[in-house]
Amino acid sequence: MMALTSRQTAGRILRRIGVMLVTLWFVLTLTFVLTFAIPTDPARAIAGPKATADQLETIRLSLRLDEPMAVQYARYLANTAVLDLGYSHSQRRDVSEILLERLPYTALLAVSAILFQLVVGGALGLWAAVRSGGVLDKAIFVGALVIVALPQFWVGLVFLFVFAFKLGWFPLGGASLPEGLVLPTLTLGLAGVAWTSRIVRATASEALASNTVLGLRGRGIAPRRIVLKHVVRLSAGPVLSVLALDFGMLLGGAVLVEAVYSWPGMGNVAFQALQHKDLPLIMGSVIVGSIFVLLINAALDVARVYLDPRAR
Amino acid sequence: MDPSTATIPPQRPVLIVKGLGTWVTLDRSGTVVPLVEHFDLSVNAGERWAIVGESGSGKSISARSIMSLVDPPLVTKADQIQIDGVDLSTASRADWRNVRGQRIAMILQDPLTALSPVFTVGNQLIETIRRRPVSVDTARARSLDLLGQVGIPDPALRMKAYPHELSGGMRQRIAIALALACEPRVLIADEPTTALDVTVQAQILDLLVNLSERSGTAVVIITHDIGILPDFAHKVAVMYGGRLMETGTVDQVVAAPRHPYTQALLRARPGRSSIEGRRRLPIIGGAPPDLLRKQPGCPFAPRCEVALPHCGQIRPKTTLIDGRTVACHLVTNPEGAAN
Repeated sequence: MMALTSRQTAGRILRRIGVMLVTLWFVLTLTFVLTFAIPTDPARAIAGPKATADQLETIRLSLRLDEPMAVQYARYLANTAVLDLGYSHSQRRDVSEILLERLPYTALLAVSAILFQLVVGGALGLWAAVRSGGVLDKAIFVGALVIVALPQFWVGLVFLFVFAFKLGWFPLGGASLPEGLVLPTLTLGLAGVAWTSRIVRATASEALASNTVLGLRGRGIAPRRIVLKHVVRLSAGPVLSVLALDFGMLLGGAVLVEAVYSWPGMGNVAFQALQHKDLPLIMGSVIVGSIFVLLINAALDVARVYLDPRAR
Repeated sequence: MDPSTATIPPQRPVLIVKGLGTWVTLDRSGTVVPLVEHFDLSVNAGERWAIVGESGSGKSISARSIMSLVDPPLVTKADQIQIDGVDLSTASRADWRNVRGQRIAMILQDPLTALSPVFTVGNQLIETIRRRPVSVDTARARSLDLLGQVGIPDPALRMKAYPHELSGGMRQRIAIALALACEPRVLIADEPTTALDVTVQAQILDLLVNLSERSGTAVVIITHDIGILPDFAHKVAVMYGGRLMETGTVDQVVAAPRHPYTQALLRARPGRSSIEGRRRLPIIGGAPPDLLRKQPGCPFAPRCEVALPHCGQIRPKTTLIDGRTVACHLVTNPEGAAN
């Protein structure tokens, strides 16, 4: 009973959207300020090192860089609101067009890496919690420690060398599906598997020692059922929270992983944009990436509330 | 409600525990610390027992040990455990799993954490009932019936509720319904009223009395509240420092306690006269025993006002005297004969 009325639910959703918009505004402002802080002249980046002062001045005027900063800021916000993210001079296309084309690839890679983390990390963590203090628990702990310490780009190169180049099991790069997705997913998700296993082990150990589980054992519920139904559900909430928090990090890792595997996602675009000092494309990648992080966070929040009625 | 006038239950033991001990081995030093020792209990069908004692006296550990629900580093062992006619002295884990819930069940102290917060009441009831091969529909019908039995109004609505949406008393009723789901012959209730309001406490105790009288289920309640003894229990076991000090019928033990600890415990009860007199409550001097220190004799000896010289050295034998058991040298061995 006392189920949430639809009005309460609507209020919560509106509040959540409000928070997301404010966060987004922060990101936009920070991105804007940073473009003034970095030592790159946008006109020079477009025109190249041999451009004359006249040419640079013409570009500046065409970009309306002579206007006051407040006016530029307002125009920037207005344009972003209608998803006009400017023109990429290095690719000679609209930024939003490029990013919309690449976003699905990054989304696919990110979701696949998260699932890999959840399934493999979750299973290892549960196993370690059940065998707490045993050899297996210690082995998973040491393994996790080693994996977390490995740099992602290095793991990517090693996987590429061993599984793609030497063994030829997977393509060397590109977006052929599904086989092209395997190595990028493993590389991007590997560290996540390690720390997901640690978090799951901690929350599952707590659940195993709880009164709830004592009660279930007292009623003679089978151990397998206690672990797979009750402990999993009891630990799911905290795990999803941490996963949501770390999604930004995952996306950051995608930049390097996509570069290593020539995966045609947003990270790869951002990497190239950095090399060309293509400011609109960099800013666009940051903005779209942020929106993506916010949306995933909202989705994980919904999942968490669904899994834990106390959070409603 | 008054056990003394109620018909005496048939003398069929449904729970026999002999020589139960539970101890913990400390990691560093390898020291073995006993938490419960020489625990004997024989409970008849329909009988209501109370195990009383202060915090740390080993009541809860004893209860969990009876159901073999202790985990490392705790270890438990008994000369004999027989539940509802089934001998469990050499039972495997699977044997125990079949016994728990079906022949003996437990109600935990805190009804908020004892129920799973993430599943509905109905889900948890149906899961427990379906340990036996019954259909979901049968289990649902039985759940509704059980909720009615434990006095939950509008059972169909509560089936869909999550535990945090219910009051403490309601949750404890549901915990009782869960314990009764597979019709156990013995019900152990570990401080079932401690977390509840006083008015709700009485209701829960009433409910347990009614259930035991209606179905002949034996109920062992663990409590530190000796005030509930006369209304609730037929028999009482007094624990101190991991050992049973005295057992017997409530009438005997409350009216004429033989063990100095029981006497002190009963004196320390806030009496009704204290309202006018505003006198200080009598207390038991000293502190509960430090279990880490080896005590060859009676654990109560250091605090006992009438202790004999050998009380701290020789463990008093548990002796049967006019239908009750007492473990005290004053009663059985005032001369200090080695035993």
